[in-house]
Amino acid sequence: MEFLSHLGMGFGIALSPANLLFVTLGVVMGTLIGALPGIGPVAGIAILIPLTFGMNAISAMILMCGIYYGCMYGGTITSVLMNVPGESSTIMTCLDGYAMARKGRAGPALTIAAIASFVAGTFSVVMLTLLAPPIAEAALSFGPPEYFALMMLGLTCVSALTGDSAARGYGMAFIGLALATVGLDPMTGDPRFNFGNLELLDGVGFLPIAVGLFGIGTVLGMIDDTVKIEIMKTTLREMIITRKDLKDSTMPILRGTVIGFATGVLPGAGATIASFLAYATEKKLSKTPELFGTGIIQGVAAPEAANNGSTGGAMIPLLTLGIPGSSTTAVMLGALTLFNIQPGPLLFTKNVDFVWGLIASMYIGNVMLLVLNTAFVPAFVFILRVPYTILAPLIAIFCMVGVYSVNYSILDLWIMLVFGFIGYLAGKLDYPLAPLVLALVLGRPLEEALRQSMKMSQSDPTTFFTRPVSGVIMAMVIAVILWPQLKRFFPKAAAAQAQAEAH
Amino acid sequence: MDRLEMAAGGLILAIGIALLVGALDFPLSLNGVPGPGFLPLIVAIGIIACGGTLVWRGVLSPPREGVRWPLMSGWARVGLMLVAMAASFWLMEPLGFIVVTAGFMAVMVYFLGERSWRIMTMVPVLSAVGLYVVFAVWLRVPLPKGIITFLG
Repeated sequence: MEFLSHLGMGFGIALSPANLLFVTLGVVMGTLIGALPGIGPVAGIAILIPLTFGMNAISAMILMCGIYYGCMYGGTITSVLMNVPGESSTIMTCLDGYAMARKGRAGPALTIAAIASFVAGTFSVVMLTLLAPPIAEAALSFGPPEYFALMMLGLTCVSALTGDSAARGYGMAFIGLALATVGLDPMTGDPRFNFGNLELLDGVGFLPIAVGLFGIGTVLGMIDDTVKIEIMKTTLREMIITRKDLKDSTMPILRGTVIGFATGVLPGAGATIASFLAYATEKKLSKTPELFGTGIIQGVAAPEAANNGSTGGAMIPLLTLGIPGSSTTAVMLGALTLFNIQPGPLLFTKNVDFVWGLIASMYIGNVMLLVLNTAFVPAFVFILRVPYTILAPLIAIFCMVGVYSVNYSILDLWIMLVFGFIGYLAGKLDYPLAPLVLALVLGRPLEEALRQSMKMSQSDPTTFFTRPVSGVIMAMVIAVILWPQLKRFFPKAAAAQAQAEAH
Repeated sequence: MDRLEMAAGGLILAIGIALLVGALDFPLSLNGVPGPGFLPLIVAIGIIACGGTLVWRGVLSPPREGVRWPLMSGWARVGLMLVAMAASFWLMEPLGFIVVTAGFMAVMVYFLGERSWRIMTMVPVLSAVGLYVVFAVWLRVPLPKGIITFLG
């Protein structure tokens, strides 16, 4: 029950006026950003990282987490009112959410989404509270081979499961690893691939690449097309739901919550697959599956619970092992390293204030999200009316000043610009960005773990397979790599993956 | 033949070959354990393998459908944004953040189609001053002052 006293202490930190302000600010900004079509949590966090530089690490992370789950809900607003998913995890919400809006029921769709987000978000934080300490404790015994194996698993899953081509995913991951090798060698201090440039001795900055790929890439995608979309209207009075709505949604919310959390823990799966699985499960269990897609509330409740449930799940590998399983948590990890905080098992013993303050703030953030998103949705809709002619250059200039503010380096700005165009083209050609960002963040620790392991074993590569924990994890890595060949033996799982990719 | 896949795969292949050449400059092993060239070599081989696979798949696949390329006007807006950002980087230090930001916003807002004079004057000024207050005053980022050095 030690965790209860830690959680109590965490609430003491999270309830300080400054941190309460940051969690509120994070949730509001996250909802606004999520509501903008095309800008998801990863772009939102990447763009806003520079705003956190004046803060301490805990306040910065509280703000980023607020943005993370705020974005998850914000995407729902555009899905329901415009039939445009704010980000990929709300694609499934469009199906019934927009259909409900067309029937004049946008309000109940948004309210049930807020309730589902609250229930799932809170459940996932409770699970994080209960599961993270024992996982972190177990991970304390991990050595470099286990860490190498874990990082390989994260990278392999994200590369193989995001996008519709494993070769593209692996290619992007290898390019991310190549970028991570720029700068001083972590063991010998030899300069590598810096082309005589002193600024590159510290490596290629994480932020210019992340902001370029996700921020500038998104801006370019925003201005290359000028489709005008009708926005459905909603008022506060229309937000009230009936007792029947609540009854119909209860089980879908609970099932979506569990599916979302479990999927969120897995590297590479993430909120998008979670929302798809939750929707597919509800349709399968329903007595009237033909009504899905025509505007029924279960079709909104389940995927919304799933995508918010995944956020707490995704924080478990990040906080306990220091291994992000998605591009959003990879960006968070990159941001934390800017504050000299290294997530991992030691976080729970060395940075007790940080980790429990953060977890406590997530409970508060979920309550804020519920209040804000039931009472202030009409206000959030306002941002959808800001024309892209103003929004796009504003985001671009924000990215510029944000990246500049880290090192005051014009070279960082050029790197951001180049990767912005790469991010734009990658989006057009369906090349996933998550493996590149994850590999960039994990590249250096991966190399250190690899070389330390080889040093420990006197260059015997079987060390990764003969140690029990790393052996099991490496077996999983091999299974993921061989999945395209193995999936014929698992037709149901293969069909589910194919459908998820189709969406 | 999927030329897009071939082109992208070819680019990845070229990156892999360049990395391979660079990786061979570093020792693969030091005192019997992997040296600075070890991971770059493995990564280069991985990139070449992926690039080669993508090129080969491009050769075998039919032309790809569903890639939503912008119209010429869309490419023009994308190009303008990139050029305007590049120009801002060049001018940031000599002219200063406020002037460059206001100029960037004015140019972009106009060329993206905004014709209201009120918006074309208010948005650049407010965004430049707003961002200056947030970053230079609040976060104490030493943004270049350029020609507006009197701001202190």
